[in-house]
Amino acid sequence: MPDTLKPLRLAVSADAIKAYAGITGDFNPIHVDPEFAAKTPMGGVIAHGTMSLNLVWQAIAHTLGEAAVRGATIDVKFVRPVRPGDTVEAGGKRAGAGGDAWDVWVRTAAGETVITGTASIPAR
Amino acid sequence: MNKPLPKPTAETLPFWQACAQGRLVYQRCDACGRAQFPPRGHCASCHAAPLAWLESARVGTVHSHTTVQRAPTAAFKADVPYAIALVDLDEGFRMMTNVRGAPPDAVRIGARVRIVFEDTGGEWPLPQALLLGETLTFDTFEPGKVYGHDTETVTPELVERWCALYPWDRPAADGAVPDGVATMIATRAYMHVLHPRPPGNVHAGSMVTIHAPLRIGARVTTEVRCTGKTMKGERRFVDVGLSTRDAQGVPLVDATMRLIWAA
Repeated sequence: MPDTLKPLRLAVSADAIKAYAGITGDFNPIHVDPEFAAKTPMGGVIAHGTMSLNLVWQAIAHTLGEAAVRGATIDVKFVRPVRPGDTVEAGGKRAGAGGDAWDVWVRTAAGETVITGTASIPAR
Repeated sequence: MNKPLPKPTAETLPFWQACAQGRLVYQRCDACGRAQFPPRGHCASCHAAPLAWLESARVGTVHSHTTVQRAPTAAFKADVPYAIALVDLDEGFRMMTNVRGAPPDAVRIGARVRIVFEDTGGEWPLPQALLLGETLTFDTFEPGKVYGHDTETVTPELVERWCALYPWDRPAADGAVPDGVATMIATRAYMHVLHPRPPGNVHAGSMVTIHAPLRIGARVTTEVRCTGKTMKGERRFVDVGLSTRDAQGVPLVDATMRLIWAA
């Protein structure tokens, strides 16, 4: 049984953020309006947090199979914003030998952690 | 006599096709940048031909309105009195629609509205304006309160748009849609029920459990509730609980989102 998740990568562009806004219905100007976003504490447009979080679910399904996702729980914090031009990579590592608990994360190509937390993935 | 139904032309067909998918689209001139509605073959401002189709967030402000007391034809008799408004969408174009969800005398110039799509019984749904209430601020949230439910059908179109963004996330061997689609539907319910929100909210954390696979054509309902709110220094944290169930009540997704509320 694998103890690490196969990493998955996503290149985040302004167009991808707009497409994600269209899918989720989340047109918060902090994601799609550079002028508005520049005036907030974020200082510019940021990607939707869940856009990167989705990669964690996908990495779990890729590594452990779709069935592993059913009944699984992810508990994470969004610790740093993702900006257009960033490439993010999701990964994970089993927290204890043979256990259900995992550490999961999303990092930028520069190695900065943007999402960090835990996953509980019950064995089937 | 029935109400007249939309009749798409070559120029307006993309607009009506988007309406059928629950999306409101408008044109923007590549040359002068002006937003344009209704759709045309050229820019009405600078006469340039290349026009881009963009998707609207479907929120706008009433520019003016009138109330219809006498039905124009017998088909409208049951509707009177009803309000018609000129709505300035936030993207900078104007459209004329009926106002739903409130008596005509509740409509005011400057009121905020959201465009929704009404079934006409024909091929094309009609965009209509829904009067929005006051912006949801931190102070008005009541922890424990259920704010509403949102029901939607998992369409192939929605799954296609998902896969365009995450090309490696294909439907599973057993025909289930990618698991993230279920969490995305829960997010959409949050957007639809807790509205209008102040601009600039930021997502601080999430706890999500996926229970069961979701299939195309499934009709799912999400309950949206506030599970808590706290101030930490200057930051306003609001916790939103989401529970997505299928038509038989089988749990699909449970989630708690922690948001930093902007106002």
